[in-house]
Amino acid sequence: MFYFFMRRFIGLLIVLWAMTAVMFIIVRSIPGDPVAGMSGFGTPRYVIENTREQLGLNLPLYEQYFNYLDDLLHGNLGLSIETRNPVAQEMGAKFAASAELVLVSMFFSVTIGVFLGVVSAARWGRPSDSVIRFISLLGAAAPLFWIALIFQLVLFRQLHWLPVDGRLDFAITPPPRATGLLLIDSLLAGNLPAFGSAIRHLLLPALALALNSVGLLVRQTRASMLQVLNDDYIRTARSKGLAERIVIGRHGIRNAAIPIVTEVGTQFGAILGATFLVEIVFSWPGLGLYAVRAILNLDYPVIMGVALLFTFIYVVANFLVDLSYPFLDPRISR
Amino acid sequence: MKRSILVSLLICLVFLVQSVAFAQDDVEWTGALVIAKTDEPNSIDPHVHDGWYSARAQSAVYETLVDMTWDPDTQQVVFQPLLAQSWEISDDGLVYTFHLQEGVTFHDGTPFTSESVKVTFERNLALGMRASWQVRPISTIETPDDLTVVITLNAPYTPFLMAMSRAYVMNQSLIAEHDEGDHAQAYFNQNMNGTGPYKFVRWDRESVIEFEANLDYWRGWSGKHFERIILRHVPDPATQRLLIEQGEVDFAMQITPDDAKSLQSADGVTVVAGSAIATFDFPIKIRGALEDVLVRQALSYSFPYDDAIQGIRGGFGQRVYQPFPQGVPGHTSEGLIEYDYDPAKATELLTEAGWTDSDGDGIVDKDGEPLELELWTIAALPYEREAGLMWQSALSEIGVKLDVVEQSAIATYAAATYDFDAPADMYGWVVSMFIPDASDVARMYSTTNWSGLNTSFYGSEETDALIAQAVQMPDGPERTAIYEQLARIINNDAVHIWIWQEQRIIVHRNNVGGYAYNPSDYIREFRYYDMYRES
Repeated sequence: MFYFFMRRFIGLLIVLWAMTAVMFIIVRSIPGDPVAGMSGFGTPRYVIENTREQLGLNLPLYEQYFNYLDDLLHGNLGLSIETRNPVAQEMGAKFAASAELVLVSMFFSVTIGVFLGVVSAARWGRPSDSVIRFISLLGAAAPLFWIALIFQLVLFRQLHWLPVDGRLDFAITPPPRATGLLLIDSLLAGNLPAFGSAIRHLLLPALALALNSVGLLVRQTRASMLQVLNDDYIRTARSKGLAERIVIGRHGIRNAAIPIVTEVGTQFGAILGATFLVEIVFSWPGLGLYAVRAILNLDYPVIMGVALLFTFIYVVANFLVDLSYPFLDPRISR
Repeated sequence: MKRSILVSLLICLVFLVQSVAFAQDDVEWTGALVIAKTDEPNSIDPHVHDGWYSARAQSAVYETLVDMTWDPDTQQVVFQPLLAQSWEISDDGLVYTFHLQEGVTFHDGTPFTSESVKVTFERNLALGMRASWQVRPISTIETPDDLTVVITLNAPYTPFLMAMSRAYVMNQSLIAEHDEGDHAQAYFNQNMNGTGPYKFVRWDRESVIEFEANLDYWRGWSGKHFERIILRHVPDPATQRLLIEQGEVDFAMQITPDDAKSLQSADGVTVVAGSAIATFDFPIKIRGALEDVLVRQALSYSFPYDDAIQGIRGGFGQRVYQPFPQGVPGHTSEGLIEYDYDPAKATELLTEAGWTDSDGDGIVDKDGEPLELELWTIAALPYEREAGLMWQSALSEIGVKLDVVEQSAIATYAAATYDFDAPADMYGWVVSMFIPDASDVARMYSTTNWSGLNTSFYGSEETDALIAQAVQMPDGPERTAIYEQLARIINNDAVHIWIWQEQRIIVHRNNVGGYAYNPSDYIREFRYYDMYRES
């Protein structure tokens, strides 16, 4: 087990290092001078040169890259060219908002996706199966921006049920920051109105974000379950007279779990990436919005920082997925 | 006797106290003003950045010596006292003496004095960043007493009062306290502290900027006012539309032309389409084939202006033929070549310049070289590419090949300003004026700004002399005449493709009072102090 951990850990380091190299090459090969762009019209040349010097952008590229790696090893992600604030600090402030959105969205996509998938498989060939399959196809195929728009039009404009922008009502004072996750912070502070408002604001973006993954998870779960349900031990379980609920719940799902969990890991990456779009549509002040702005401004350290963080999260999530295999199927640990 | 004096004094006192109390009770707070916008301030430090989106936040907190308003009847700007109650200008236009308002304090209680002005302007100059244009004409600042500032300029600079209407006064004691060798940049990047009507509460990036009323404001509070100002970050224009329709916000600043049209008939909202002192141009880099004025004129005749204004801006835009937008003295309608879409005329000019399709490949050529041009547009502003593509197809009809390349704003900026040899022959550019004075645009056409503002690398001794002369002349018909002459020369030289004068689309709820669109002054886009909600 120790070797397993070490191997994965070294793998993680290599992936992160490769990411810095690839991102550095991509970001730096985009033509443009962010310092000149940010300083704006009419700034004297020497001011721009001074700023470039302050930020170390006047050095040869390879030197800048080694400086970046050196800073990175010391946990320093550099300064944003636009705001001159430390990138790590800025990302820290944005991270919680995105994390909350992604986690709630993952919760929706896993619970709804797996539940519908199991139901669909259990009722194979019946009308409810067809309905679920149709819905999941729709969910998997519909473009995210369109889903978001339809949600806004129906649930905000027509029905007035849910808000469409931000994390909290502006009339509500945000709870003191403990974790940055508003759902938890508001409960810690015993601020129920803030909790309610946070949930209401979360629902639309999280559901919109989850819908694609729900579609794909339903399909994966259904396929995986159907395969298992045709196996001999299921027939044995049924012939023993076990209730169908137990057959499916205890014998079916556990054996079908590995492909499902793998798909969950993949979907986690997809949801992470999709936050870029959803955060714009729902004015969600998270990392996606932050990164889009940085890309438009060509703010090198911010782009690199966000890319590294996302890579790290994705790799760790898949590592956790791998770790879960031995628990799901004891044969693997042997 | 003594007693009666005492009594009358007491009565006076009671009245005094009452009247003071009355002045404060008189105010009726009308909730929060909520503005939905997509652009974050580049900085809330007024000396780091003074652009439109930064000013939207800064203007709630900071104030200037001079206020500038717009008189819609005369179509001219009017200067009014603010932190300076009066001022004198010496006859040679070099010395400006400002007499300051008494009893003004900053939000932390620091008194506002002539020292504040001196320290602020010196900081701005020392930082030398984007906002330093405001104080660059200044040679010395003297403070004979607490309420007098005497500013001497290097050379006469006629729009100096306009510059003063832009230059926010900062808190001198906080600058000193937080100076860590950076002129307190780190501090003022996160905090705001001015003399203005609203106090800074918080700025959560990409989420919200919030202000609350400064109860000790020196102009006092009476009548209706907003108690809070909230700038909400709503990056998606479609979401902004939903919010303004439902009354969740009072202003929506980024509504698409299509949405604006359908909102014009909606209940409860007003669509303002105000002309701005900004033009959308394709500046032409004067090199190669484009050195020939006939070719540039031919290009000017080849752009489908009306189709672009209708098709891209939904009609929200005005034709403009010259560098100075309407509303700025120097804008003229006489002696201009009116470049409307006329492909026949364009072909005629190209032929005259020696460009004909001699090899029959559909592209005109001269000395064996085909006429192929490259246009860069900014990816974040998709309408630039649309305009470029419309032009591309119009140009192909007169045998000119145009490549439309999408670039980041920053790449375009660098190519436009510094690099004569960059592949772009033309680029998309919104020429937005800092101040409503023709000098602000004229300097874009001066050779002293090559590798800088003069993105076309245009200019001659004649135009340089006119530009240098006019900026120092006192305001009046003579000065305007020079700018009109400049407008004609630059128009005849076809230096830019002037496509349209921008019309800004602003949608607001009908129950917001005290708002008037101001075409000339982006830093006072919102006069927060004057605004309120009608009951």
